[in-house]
Amino acid sequence: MTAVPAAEATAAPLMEARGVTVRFPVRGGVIVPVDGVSLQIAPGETLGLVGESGCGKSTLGRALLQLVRPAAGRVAFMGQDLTALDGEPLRAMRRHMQIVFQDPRGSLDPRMAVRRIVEEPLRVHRLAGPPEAARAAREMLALVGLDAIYDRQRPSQLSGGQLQRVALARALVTRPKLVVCDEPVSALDVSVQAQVLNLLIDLRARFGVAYLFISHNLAVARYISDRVAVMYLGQIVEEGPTDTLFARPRHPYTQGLVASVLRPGLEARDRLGAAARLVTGDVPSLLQPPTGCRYHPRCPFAQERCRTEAPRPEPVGGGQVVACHFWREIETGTARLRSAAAGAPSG
Amino acid sequence: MLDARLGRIEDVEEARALARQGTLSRAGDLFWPAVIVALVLLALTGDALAPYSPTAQDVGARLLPPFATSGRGFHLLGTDPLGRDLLSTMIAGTRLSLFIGATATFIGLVIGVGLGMAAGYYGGAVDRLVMRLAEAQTAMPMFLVAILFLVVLGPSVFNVIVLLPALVWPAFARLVRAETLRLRETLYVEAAVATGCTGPQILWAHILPNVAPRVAVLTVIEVGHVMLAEAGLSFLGIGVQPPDVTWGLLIARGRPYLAVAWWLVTMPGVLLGLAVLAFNMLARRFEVASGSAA
Amino acid sequence: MIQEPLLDVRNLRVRFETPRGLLRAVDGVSFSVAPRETVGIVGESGSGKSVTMLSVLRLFPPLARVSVSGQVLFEGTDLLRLSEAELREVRGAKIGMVFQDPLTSLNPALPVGEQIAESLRTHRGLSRGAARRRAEELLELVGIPDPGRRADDLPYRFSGGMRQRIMIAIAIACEPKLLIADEPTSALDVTVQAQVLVLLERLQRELGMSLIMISHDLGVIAATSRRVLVMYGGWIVERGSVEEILERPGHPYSAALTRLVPDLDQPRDEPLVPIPGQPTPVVGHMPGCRFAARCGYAMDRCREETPPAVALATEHISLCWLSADGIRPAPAPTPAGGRR
Repeated sequence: MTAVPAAEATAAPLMEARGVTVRFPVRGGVIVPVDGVSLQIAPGETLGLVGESGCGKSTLGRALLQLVRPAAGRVAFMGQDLTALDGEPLRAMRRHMQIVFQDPRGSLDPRMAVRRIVEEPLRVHRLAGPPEAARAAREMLALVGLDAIYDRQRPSQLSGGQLQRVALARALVTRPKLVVCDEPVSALDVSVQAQVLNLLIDLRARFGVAYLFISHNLAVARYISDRVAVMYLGQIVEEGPTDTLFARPRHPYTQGLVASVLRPGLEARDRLGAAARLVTGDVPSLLQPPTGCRYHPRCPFAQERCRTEAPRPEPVGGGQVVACHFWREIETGTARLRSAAAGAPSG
Repeated sequence: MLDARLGRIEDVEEARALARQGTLSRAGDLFWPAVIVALVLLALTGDALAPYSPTAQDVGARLLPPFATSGRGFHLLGTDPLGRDLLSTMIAGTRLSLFIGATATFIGLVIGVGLGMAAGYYGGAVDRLVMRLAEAQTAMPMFLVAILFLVVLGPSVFNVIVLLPALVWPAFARLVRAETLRLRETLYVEAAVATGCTGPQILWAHILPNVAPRVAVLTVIEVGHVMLAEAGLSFLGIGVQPPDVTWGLLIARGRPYLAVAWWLVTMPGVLLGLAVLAFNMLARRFEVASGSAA
Repeated sequence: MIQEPLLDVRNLRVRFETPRGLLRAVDGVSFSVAPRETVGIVGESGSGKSVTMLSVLRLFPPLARVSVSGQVLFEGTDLLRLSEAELREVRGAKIGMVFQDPLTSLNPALPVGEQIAESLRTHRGLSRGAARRRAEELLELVGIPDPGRRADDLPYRFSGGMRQRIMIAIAIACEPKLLIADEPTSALDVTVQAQVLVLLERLQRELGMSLIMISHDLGVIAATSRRVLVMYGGWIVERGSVEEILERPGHPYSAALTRLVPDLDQPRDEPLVPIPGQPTPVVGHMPGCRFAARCGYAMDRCREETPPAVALATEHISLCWLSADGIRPAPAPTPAGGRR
């Protein structure tokens, strides 16, 4: 299951986003939850998008699908620029790109029967007449593990895990090339999470669909993704093949994240202290993002340059890319600790 | 504080939801629905049930009080100035009163729901237009306008049915617009957009079924309003005309005789009031059952 | 040396009346917590873990038709027999509670300093001024910067992590002997989680409190608890030291839990082994083991007879027929894997 990153550049990507920016006017100004993000997803690939609350990962997912329209940037998908599309052409593209939301109960119409929910995409895109659509929906529901007994039931009669299966069936019934999974298991019980994750993997193998897997849970993202991108405050700070990114995270934020995840093992106690020291403070408000490198107020290695100059993404080998001024020094252990010139730390 | 938190425990939340569902089953709750059902049955089969023909005149038995007996027989509610049995004429009037009430409300519903959904979903110019129309409607003294129209166009059942929806469509439009605004922001509507549904498809398949419960409640209330309005118009003589009969018309016919034959006004009036009350109580029951009651 | 336990729960049963029958949310739970000890409770929704803790303080909404039986001995007094007034003395002053979602647990209309001070005035009889000063001290103690000014802010002005710290400040304001934390970090980001757990640990040491840590996350339990209770379907299905439970689980459910979540330190292609089915509340009478329907090791006996409590080691007890037969669940994936 180890990914081979080298060939990405040659095969045409399924989706390519360049400089995507999303702006929302709010009381007190404008917030920019996604700021100049670029990424690529190869056909059949799973790209994990991780980050904590407020980093913009969910907004990015929606912006790529044009559910939220970017203020700037291009999103190329299957050879078309989605940002330039509107109305009917955009609608037609939707059969190839779908989304599964975090809240399974909220994402399904409470008054619609389960099978009708799964038929809807087929009817809307006129891919099948009523009897055909019913058959295809039943097939899809069976594939996600739901018996015919659920066909006529309403969402209120199903559990969270079952509802998420319905949502998956709906997303895949038109055989899309890409499914954005926005925290698909976060709202589920632990014992059900594993079921749904394995289901996602099975369906991926069966249909060759690409996933953009958005999650705040690093271990889950690592389990299912071929490559992972780490977001902080609207920007991607590091990206690379899953194995190398987790084995050797280069960005201090990624390092902090990885250290903060509590393993269910006996060393967890000792690691707790170290984890708390690596990342201090809380995520700053989007209304006043820090200058220069956005992470500098919380970074143990911040210097003056970090406060004044935003780092550009640099390839570091093996398909990994980092946006940090001092990643080399941090890696070799020669990085200086936080200097006063970097400003007051948060937290 | 505690309720919100406990609600997150699945078992307790389930328990409370189940407990709420139990409220419909008490026998006493069937009273008002039974009244409505009785009225509808009366409207449909009244002709057969009425003891006398509503048009049969018997001048020798005019203005008899309730419980009186004439040459023809027993008159439960008395007779009118032409000797017609009041009970029979009231039964005859039921059909038209309910019919006008239901039809006019239904037309108002269709217009109001349609405009309300469009206003709520598309916003912008559509919304402004619809809201202006509704405001204008509410600002006008509807009754005077109705009088004007009916005097000019001539009173008739048809004209009344065409005119009365104007009275109720703004209420539907406002309700549906507010609900649509709320529903538009739900995750499943966003999911429908992501699926590739068009606006009309979303309105039909997702918004309409979800506004239906509250629209049902409002419909029942508005039927009562419309019936009262029709009664008022007929009472003034510009609504329904003889030989058609509605409760309003009956009240009008009885008014000159109020001092000597109080039953001619009171009985139809009580029936009208009962019907409107029944509709309002039914609306309240709908609210409780659908879980949106206060 | 056997210490007198601080909290001693004996045979606690909590039942809700529902139209579908009697819901046994907690069915015969017994455990104790010693002074200065951290006990972890692991379970999913429907396991009864939250209801158990709410029963300790009788925090049920007035509408729920609940019956609670058994004993909850706190410092020797049975909390279930106390009057509402006496119970109020205990809540906040002797036992503090921290909930999962600080957004709904804090009063959105009162400044945070006031919410802390309220508790101090009621339970400690402090004057307004003294309570306010102490509230600011507490905010500082839990790591809220600029406490003098921020004590006047409303909860919405704080981030999730800060709100949780404020909840902790309220809970420890009167220096309770016991702090119950119900999923205190589940709604928080992972980097903030570490800081909040470290804070809880530090406060526990400084104030000499006992801590009950409820979580579905084994990592959180491993990092904070010495002893663990594993709950499922209203029972405690296994109890023991954290080492025993994590490394040598005796109950199939505990064993399954450890294989259920992806671990950053394990190889990526190690498959997750789901537990088939979903946790369902137990309504009405259900014979046999609560976990039998989902258990890969279930035998006929499991479905018919209530399993016995088997001692696998000192202080390590498993409620299971498999354990009674002297068998441990295998480290490899269970035989009855597969979906729903």
